[in-house]
Amino acid sequence: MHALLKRQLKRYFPDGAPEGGPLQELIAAVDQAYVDADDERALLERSLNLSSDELKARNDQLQADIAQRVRAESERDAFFRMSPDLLCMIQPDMSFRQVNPTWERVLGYAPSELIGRSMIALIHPEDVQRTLQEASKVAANGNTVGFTNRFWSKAGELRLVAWTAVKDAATNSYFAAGRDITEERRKESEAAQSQKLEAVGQLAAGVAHEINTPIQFVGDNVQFVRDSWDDLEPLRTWLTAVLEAKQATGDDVAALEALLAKADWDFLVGELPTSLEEARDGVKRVAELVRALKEFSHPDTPDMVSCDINQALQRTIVLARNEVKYVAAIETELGELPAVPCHAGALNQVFLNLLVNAAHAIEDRNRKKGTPNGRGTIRVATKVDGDFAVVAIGDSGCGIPPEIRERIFEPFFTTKEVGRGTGQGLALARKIVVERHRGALTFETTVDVGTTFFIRLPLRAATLARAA
Amino acid sequence: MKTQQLVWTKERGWNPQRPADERPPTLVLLFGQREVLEAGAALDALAQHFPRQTFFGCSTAGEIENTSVHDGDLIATAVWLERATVHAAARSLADFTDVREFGAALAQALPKDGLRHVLALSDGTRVNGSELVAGITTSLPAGVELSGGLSGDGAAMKTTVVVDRGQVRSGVVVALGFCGALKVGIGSLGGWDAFGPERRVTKASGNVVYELDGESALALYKRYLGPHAAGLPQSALLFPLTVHASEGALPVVRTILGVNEADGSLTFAGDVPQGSRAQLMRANFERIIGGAFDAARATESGNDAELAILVSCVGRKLILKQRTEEEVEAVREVLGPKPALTGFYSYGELAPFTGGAACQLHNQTMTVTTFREV
Repeated sequence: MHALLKRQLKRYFPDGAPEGGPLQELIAAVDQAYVDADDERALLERSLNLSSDELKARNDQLQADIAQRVRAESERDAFFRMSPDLLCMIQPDMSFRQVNPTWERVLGYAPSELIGRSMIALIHPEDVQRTLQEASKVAANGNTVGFTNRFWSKAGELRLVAWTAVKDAATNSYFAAGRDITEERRKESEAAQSQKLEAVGQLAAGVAHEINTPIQFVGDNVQFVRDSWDDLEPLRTWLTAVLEAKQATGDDVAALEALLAKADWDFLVGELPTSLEEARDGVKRVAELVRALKEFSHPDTPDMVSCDINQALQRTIVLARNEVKYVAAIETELGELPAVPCHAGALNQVFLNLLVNAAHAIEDRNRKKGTPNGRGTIRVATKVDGDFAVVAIGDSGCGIPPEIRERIFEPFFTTKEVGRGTGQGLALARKIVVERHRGALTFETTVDVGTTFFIRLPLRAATLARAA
Repeated sequence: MKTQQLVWTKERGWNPQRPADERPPTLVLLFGQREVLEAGAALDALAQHFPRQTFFGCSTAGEIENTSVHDGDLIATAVWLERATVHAAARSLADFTDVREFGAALAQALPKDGLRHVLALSDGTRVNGSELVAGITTSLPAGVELSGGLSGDGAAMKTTVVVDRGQVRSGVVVALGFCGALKVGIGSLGGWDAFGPERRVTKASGNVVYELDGESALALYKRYLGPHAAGLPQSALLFPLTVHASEGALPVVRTILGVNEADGSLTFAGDVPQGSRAQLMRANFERIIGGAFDAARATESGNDAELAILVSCVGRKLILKQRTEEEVEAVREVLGPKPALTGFYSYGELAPFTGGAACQLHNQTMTVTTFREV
């Protein structure tokens, strides 16, 4: 019997409770209830202790998790603050939700000046539409890499920014990282110009030689005309005297014949027009070279202009003639092309690079075959293929070995000896064709047979946009 | 509707001994101890006054008669319906491999026209109640609700039986389809409190849980039960589990039907999906009694109900002990003196949480279904 009930019975029934009957049944029921209540309390206490222990352990774990999370967040915040890139969260309405301090360092805007403000207000008006279109693309496709637009700095300068952005599906916001590539692009432009100048330098000797030959025979012919004029001087004097005397005698006829013979009149009559013709040709060739050189070295324009690609190719061939003429014959098959929107100066450089490379490849093949004076062929062809103009520049050179085919467009990769190439030619060519023209630069090659490079250029703005 | 309740005890047999109406009843609901049902004498005696084919019911962990809770007796409630009808369908679990298909077949055997409500009395230890409910409810016409319970076997949890047209059968589910002019109310509430940390169900399959937070589920229960662990699986009823299957879903309460010492698993009366969140629950006397009171109120039957079938969880009885009848009295207090109260202590209750919600298997609830002819 439960101790408490025992005491209670002893207290209220000092002489003992009546045996049997309903009272004993009641006492048994009360006893059970006491036991059950104790049991229940013990179970509850046990549960309470155990769950308290568990909750404490979980609380400790939670504290540790929070500490770790705080540390991780602090590291992430530091990363956010210290990143050299312009990091930001953009709301679906293109307003800034969060920006890192780099915005102030690069563009001069404090985060408090940007948060809540529309990003569009900072973008050059000409780039706004493209930016909104790109944002729509990110919303649909999830990300963008390498998109560039121009931002106004607080000081009023335009800065070129390249973006990588992803969409956060949960909030429809954008997480974007931008890099100020203004200086980088300027250096690239300078590098391109210097590469161009380097190419011009490489060509200078050839160009000088090319100019020297016609100048030489222009000079020779002019000297000849000058000398011939001296020979004709006695004849002119005599004729003047005879004309002044107004009469000629038989002696005069003999004297005239003698003078004509002395001046080699018949020869002069035949040669002088030819000499003058040759001199005119020479001057024409020099003028052509000078024009080609001038156009080649002309600084590039930021916007594309419509250009006659065939004419550009022909002028570049003129410039490359000396580099090529001893190793190859240039065959052209220029199809009818519409005007192509392009950066003409940059494309000229691509053509020249490919022509010079073609000549070098043929030289290499000759050297390999032990026929240093052998001549190969460089074929230059153009055609329209769908929405693209295609320029093919092929050579009968040594071909590109399989092991380096994947590397030839890498910057500073070259197989040429020092002084013959910098390794920037094809890298730059690819950059010009692919990035600046949204075109393609590919090649087909067979070792010891030759290589053909294909430049595909979009013909229309619509194609350009699609290619983009 | 007319009802008469008769009580069979070993000592006295049936009391009263005579039917209140000479007409054959529409239905005789029988709830009682398995051994009494299986012995057959009580049913044979009853069959002398009522047609045996009207007998439907099941074994229990306690049977309800008016506001009394009996143990080891048999309660018969004869129901004479004036305008409504009852159609019965029964299927054996042995004929099916898929419990959902089994439930669907059972529901499809009932007439669709005029069907107002389905009362299901199921085998209590051999069926996944969640799957059974899903199978039955998918095949019921819109607006027809399901209530009922899993039959009991005292606190033994070994074998249960169902009475189908007077035949005592094991491994069977019987569905009673109430048709016609009836107003039916359902209420189901628990009154248990969750306590301690929330746990993740890290390993489970169907209604078998192997691990909670990576720890053996059985080991966790043994730790909490302490000396009561010797009484497993019955003592696990002291700590039901509240289960959040997914974010936003209403939690369901699950009690343990069996334990497996070999793999440290616990078998629950219904599904406990892997990945769901679970928390131990403990009894709170006042709230348990209050739960029964609120379940009766949720039937919205006022004082008009003529019959109330109470299905309460064996776990509540284990807690309430000598106070068990208090929860039945609470139901009576709400429904008034008019309806006949019958029912049983079960291994699982079938009911929607609220009117119009989907029916689910519950544990640790008092489920009240009221009927009135209109």
